[in-house]
Amino acid sequence: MSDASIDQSKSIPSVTDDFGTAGDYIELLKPRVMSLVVFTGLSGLVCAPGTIHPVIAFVALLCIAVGAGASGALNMWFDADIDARMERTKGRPIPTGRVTPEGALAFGTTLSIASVLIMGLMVNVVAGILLAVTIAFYVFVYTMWLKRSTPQNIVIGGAAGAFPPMIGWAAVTGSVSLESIALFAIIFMWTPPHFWALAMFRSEDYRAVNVPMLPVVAGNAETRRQILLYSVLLMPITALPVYFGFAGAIYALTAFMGGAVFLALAFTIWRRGDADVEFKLAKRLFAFSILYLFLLFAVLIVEQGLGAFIPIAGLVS
Amino acid sequence: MTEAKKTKAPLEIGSHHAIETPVWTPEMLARRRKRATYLALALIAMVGLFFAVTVVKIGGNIVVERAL
Repeated sequence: MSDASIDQSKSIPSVTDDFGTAGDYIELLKPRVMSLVVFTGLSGLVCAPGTIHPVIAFVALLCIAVGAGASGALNMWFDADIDARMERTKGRPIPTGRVTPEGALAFGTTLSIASVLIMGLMVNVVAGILLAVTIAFYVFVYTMWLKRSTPQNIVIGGAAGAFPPMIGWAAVTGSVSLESIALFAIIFMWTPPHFWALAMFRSEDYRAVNVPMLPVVAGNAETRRQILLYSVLLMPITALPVYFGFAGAIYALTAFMGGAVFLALAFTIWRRGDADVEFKLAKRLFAFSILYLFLLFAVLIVEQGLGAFIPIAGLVS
Repeated sequence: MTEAKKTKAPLEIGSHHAIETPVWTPEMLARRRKRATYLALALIAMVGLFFAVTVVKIGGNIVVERAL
């Protein structure tokens, strides 16, 4: 064998060039998304009937956080090509070269498997299965299949983000019930108006990388109509926790007032179609939608966890 | 991406050929050391967590057995 045939330096860089810091790897976990996921997961834990040991509850939340983060890392690994060309995502660890795609894949896969196994073994099997379904749905169904193939990507893919309260609920009860499905439905129906508002003012980014978001495929007028439609559908669903009796008067008031503002913003976007203000309105709806979801679940936690539950007569069994 | 500086570093033992190996700058080494430290801390935390969960799970059984 000649010297020329043993150019081992070419096989080394994929390993040695991964100089990502701990902070770069944490960035792969999408910490901001993770915090909202943990928060909604906590609401499921707190609202579920029954008791759970605080240590086991902590493990459940940790697994939800790590599982959500791991699916975020796998999403960044798969979408690195389009992330590099989008304004919003071009600064992520893989496009900037701080973490190699192989490093992100290994990191995401390891954490996914570990979080599911630990959830299944230390909390319960149902919660472990639900976490596995959540990760698989986000990575395989949303990221790899729907995102680049249909404008309904975030409608169906939104299910992945809606699972955490169900997982939290299952961690306590070991089962799936109508109440936990109600919490799932709130996030599921909230996702389209939230993401379409974002897609409206980021549509050029999505168009440039051929991701068929609704504003790119159907235009802003149709997107505004769909935002209003899903916002209207969301309102009765936010009342379900009151109907099932695990939310009280403070939640009802918050859902009603927050819902009124949400609807007003969606209606304004739909009615005022002029291009000069629609981006501004979309940004406003996007920002408020985050606050709205946070408030709904915060109130659920306060009512059930801190003893602020005021029952609504006639509705509570 | 930070480029590793590579120099010719002949490996004499067990090797018939001179191969290129990367030379890490002090900054790269510091970054690797920091990452390894965080990883070690995470592993220690995981051991602690596993221990706590074991105590919680077994503790419940001890209470049940004593009650019997």
